[in-house]
Amino acid sequence: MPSTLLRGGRKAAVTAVAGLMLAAAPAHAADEIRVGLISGGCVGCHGSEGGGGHGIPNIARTMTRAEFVATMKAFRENKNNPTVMNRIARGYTDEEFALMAIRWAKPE
Amino acid sequence: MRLGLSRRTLLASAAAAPVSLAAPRVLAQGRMKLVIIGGGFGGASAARFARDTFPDVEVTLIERSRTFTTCPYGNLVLGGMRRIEDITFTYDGLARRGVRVVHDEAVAVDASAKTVRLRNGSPVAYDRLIMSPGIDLRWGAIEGYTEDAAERMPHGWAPYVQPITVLERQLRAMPDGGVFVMAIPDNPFRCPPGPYERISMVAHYFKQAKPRAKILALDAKNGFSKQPLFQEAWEELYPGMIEWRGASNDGRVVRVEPAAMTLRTEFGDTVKADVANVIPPQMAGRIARDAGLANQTGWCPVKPQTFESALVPGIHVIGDASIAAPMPKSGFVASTHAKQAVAAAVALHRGQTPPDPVYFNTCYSHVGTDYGISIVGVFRAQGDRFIEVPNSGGISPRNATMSRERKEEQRRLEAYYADGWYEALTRHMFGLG
Ligand SMILES: Cc1cc2nc3c(=O)[nH]c(=O)nc-3n(C[C@H](O)[C@H](O)[C@H](O)COP(=O)(O)OP(=O)(O)OC[C@H]3O[C@@H](n4cnc5c(N)ncnc54)[C@H](O)[C@@H]3O)c2cc1C
Repeated sequence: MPSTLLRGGRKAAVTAVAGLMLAAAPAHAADEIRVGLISGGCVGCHGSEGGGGHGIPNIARTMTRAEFVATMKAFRENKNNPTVMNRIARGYTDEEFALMAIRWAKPE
Repeated sequence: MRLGLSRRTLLASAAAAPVSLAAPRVLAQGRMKLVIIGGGFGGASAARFARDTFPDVEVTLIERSRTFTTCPYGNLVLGGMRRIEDITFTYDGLARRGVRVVHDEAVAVDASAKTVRLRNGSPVAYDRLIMSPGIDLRWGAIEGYTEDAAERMPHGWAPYVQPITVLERQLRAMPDGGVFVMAIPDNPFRCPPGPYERISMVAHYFKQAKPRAKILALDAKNGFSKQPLFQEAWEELYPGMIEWRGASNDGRVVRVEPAAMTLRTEFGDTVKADVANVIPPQMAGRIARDAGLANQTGWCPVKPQTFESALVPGIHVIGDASIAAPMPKSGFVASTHAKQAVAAAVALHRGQTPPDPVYFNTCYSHVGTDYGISIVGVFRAQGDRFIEVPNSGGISPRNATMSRERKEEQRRLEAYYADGWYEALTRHMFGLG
């Protein structure tokens, strides 16, 4: 299902995503499931609540949404001494980073 | 079945607090019945995700065994880095979260009546069925390799058929200076890097306990997962101990004689082993084949968007049993099949469009102490195929691309992260955290 999120680039996307979180409005139920699906991949290493462990960073509410998305984009460019995150980040779209941010970043 | 606004609001808040919220009684009659066969990497992950995401869906997990021993980290048991208890789990965590766990064997599926018949209990009705039965071994595909032969020449490739401790005991009893021979199958098979992690972990054990022992790997392929990384590491950590022979170098084992402890190769070589680990060709677990979900390959074709069977509607086949190349048959990727299959099954049951999938794999291999390597892949559906996202994923960097310090740091961190990976994934799928 093509989401309307993030059509207008990152800034608009982050705003749209922020709106999504506040709303329990009907139109967004499908997007909430997508948040669960996309962030479901992160859970495999960072844990159910994103707390990390064994050197894997805690990603639960440690960043703002904008910071989260910026961090993922930096990984794409091999920044911040990555081991696996660079290879992972290159597989996801900006919109998907914004969906992950809804699950993991500080509530806005 | 129509969703009222209040129900959607409930769904939304339930997503934020998945564990504590149960759907109210009034919805009980209309609750969708989602049934899952197999409580391994695919099935347990599906149960957890369904319970967290869809509080108004009734989730039943059918698993024949009361405990689950993971294949991942089984090689570390051989290496002496873990005990079998450390890698064995129960289903109590999932049951506590509201999954109805039925310990019984599914023996037949009636896809038109939508019921699963059990060996002991009464039949279970479903609206949608998810199957993650794992693999069966093809006895006889290597001549002489029968269930009996596997006692002498263990596979250690499916814990519900044979615990890894059978092979572990043989390795411990092997004399120093002995030869450990592995027979490795052609693609597709469970866990492409698994045999090579096993070589590494056995070498790790030999280096300490039996330094004169040798490892001979006879492979039915000409190349393997993370090959350059493994081979560089073997030279570095275990020089002179490991010989790997590919198919074109007469590596394919076609026959075994367990009484004599010999293995015959395609072009007629006979190899004598002190301990032999024969990993035979594989196929989808029996219940999937019996239900008509497998094609002539023995594996199950699925629709890439939903993991619904391409052959029988209403049943989703995930994990190792499915045909999902270029995705590997791994536990991690099975957990992402699981989540997509659950979301798709619920959407289809409700007449909605399933979400677009992203499948994701991260597999670490331990090669030695503080020495880990990995392969990553992100995959999507494109028409009737799965594709790997171009320019993403791949293996850890080669030695030569890094400074010595950085290389040591990279390998050390990946070994450390592997332990975190294992803990996070197993705690999640078994509902422990
Ligand atoms: C040595 C080794 C190392 C590995 N290392 C890794 C790794 O590091 N990372 C990784 O991601 N993957 C790894 N794997 C691969 C991983 O184990 C599999 O890909 C994964 O288990 C597949 O999940 P599944 O759900 O398809 O099957 P399984 O996890 O095998 O689960 C199948 C379950 O179904 C049950 N079952 C089957 N039939 C029935 C029935 N009729 N009724 C009731 N219950 C039934 C079985 O009892 C079993 O519990 C490794 C594999 C091996 C062999």
